[in-house]
Amino acid sequence: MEPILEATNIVKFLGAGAAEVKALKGVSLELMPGELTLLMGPSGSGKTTLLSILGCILTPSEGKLRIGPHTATGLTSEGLADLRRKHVGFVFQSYNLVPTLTAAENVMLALDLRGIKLAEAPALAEEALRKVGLSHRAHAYPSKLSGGEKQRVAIARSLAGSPSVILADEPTAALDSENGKAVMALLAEVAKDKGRGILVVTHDLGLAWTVADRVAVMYLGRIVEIGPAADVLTAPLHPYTRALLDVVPEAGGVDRPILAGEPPDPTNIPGGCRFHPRCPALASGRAAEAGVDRACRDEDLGLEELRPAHWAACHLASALAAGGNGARTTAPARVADPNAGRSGTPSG
Amino acid sequence: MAAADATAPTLSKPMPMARKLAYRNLFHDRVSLLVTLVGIVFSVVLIAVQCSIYLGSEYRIVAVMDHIESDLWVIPVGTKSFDLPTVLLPGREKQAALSTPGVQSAEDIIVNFVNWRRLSQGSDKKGCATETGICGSTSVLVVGFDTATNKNLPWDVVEGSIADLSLPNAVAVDSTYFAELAIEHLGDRAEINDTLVTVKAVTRGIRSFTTLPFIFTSLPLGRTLSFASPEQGSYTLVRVAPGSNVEEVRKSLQARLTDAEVLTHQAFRKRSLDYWLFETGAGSGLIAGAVLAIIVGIVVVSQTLYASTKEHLNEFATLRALGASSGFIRKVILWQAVLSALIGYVLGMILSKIVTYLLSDMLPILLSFNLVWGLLVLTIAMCVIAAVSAIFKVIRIDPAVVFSR
Repeated sequence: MEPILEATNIVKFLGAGAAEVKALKGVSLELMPGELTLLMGPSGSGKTTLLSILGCILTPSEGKLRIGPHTATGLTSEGLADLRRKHVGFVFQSYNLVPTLTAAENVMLALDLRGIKLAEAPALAEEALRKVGLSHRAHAYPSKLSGGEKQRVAIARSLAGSPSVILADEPTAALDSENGKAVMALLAEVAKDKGRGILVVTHDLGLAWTVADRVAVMYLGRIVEIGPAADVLTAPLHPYTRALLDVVPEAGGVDRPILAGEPPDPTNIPGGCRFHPRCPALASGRAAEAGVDRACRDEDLGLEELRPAHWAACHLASALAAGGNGARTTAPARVADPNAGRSGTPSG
Repeated sequence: MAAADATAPTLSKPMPMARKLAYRNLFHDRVSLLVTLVGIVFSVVLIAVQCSIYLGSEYRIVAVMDHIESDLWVIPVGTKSFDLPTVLLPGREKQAALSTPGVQSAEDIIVNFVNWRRLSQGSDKKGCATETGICGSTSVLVVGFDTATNKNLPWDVVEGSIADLSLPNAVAVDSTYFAELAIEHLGDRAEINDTLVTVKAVTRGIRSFTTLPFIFTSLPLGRTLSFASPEQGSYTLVRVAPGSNVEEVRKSLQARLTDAEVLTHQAFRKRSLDYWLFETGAGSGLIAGAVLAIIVGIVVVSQTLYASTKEHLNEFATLRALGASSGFIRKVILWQAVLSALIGYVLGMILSKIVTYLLSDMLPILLSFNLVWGLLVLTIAMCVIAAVSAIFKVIRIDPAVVFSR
């Protein structure tokens, strides 16, 4: 199965001169149809920059982006606007509904932008609102809707015109737990459409726990782990992923922070493994026991397929996997897995 | 979720979203809309009044000229305007014209400042302009013309008839000047340069730019009142024979009359207008006022439109993020500008109509059909120009900001 969206070796510099930051360093990611991918990572890891590039809002400094049959690199701002108008639906953290338009009109606005005929718009808007269970609120203005309802309208808007890619930026961040669950469930429902791929950026692993097909974890401008959700969330390979899961009760973790050191600073990226200054495995001596502590400090490494369709960028995990079965596949080799269609060839 | 949708209202056919968004944005912030409308209304009224006065002045300056059928005018050298006569022509101009090839007819016309002495209209002194009953005098501009050939002079006669101007000592006056001339109705009398005249026709609305009343009379009486000889006139009106070239006839006649100027009707008309409107500075002031009003309008509208756009910047960023083309964004802002312009224009024109009506007795004011429609175009253009800064602001917005809000 062909990916709906394919980003290859995306590099993005932000700022200029002394203030220049390499926000993304060679990120590759694929979105498969009918799949919901979670993108996690700390603030400053490049999630939003990646989302902006995948949504054709920002252009990458290097690398390639393809959405369906269309190549997104090298386009003008109007060309990018055309591409995202036709193929990308967005769900924003703060809903971003137009306050002067009703729920239905917000959906019709997206339809209008996507070139749907005016006469067809009301029926399609009604259908989109019905899908999110809000057609009875079609004539309500955003100010009269609850947070959950607003986000459902935003999802209906993103669905209007059936774009092939939906990108959601922390869609549950402004919602309470119950509404957050409902919104994630709705996104999971939407993801069942085989013609569509969904990427959800979230900090809230608790809510996303049960709905994701794949999980990607970013740290300082790179994907450090990516794989099937069940595998990544139950048996993470990268210590940062593990640290994330350790604070998620739904994942059996304890609700306490365990990472030492300063939060990641994209303007001051450490040498070697980017995570090594905060790595619990390095601090506890486990890395030394495995003989990779020097590599952790000195050698940057890309993603390696350490389990079927499960990739990580960790010297320790790599050493353990090599010690276990000796089979290591390094990026960018294709995943030789029966489910390869649902996996990409990611690189961090 | 679907259960709640059983009672869902059906959506009606929508208007184009760019227009709807513009309309909603505009009416969303009533205070901002009010400020915008005040700016537009102020501009429209100011431009309308200034231009109306300009047009009214223009009309008054050349109204009498425009009712005289003449291809060429023979005028004393240096005459600045039709209603500003200098000296009488020597008297050979008519004959010179008639003997010029291509001339169909020629006749003299008298336009001269004379002294109108008010007379009591009866024993009760009724009709005197002063409260004391002492009837003084005032300057007037007498227009003596050949009543047989100038059928259009005077016009808008409301009492009496033009034919009666052929009667001895008959004059026509405008009802606007009744008080100033101590006249109340047809048959009332006055004295011009010791000659008793009787009002035999009354017009309504023939007013001069100089504020001196026009007194229409026959050519012989005009000459008498101006102490002119039977051959003299203020100007000589020349009609060119059909098929003859007006400019060639003019040149030919000018060659014969070296001590007078021969101008086409349009040239003399333009000279009269230029004198009063530009040499005196009156018209320049009006035009400057109108330009100032346009600038004020553009500044006020652009400021409020810019402020309104800034207020909705997040929504515009969202639109950009959703893939709205710059054309769509432009359309929204331009619709906002055009809607503001239309509302402001309607309110402004209503107010202008009232203002011009109230000023019509005091000032030469003419809110013409062309001005009304021209102002509509101007108002829309003004608001569209004012929208440019807002459009630039929005087109340059980085849609990526939606992720940080």
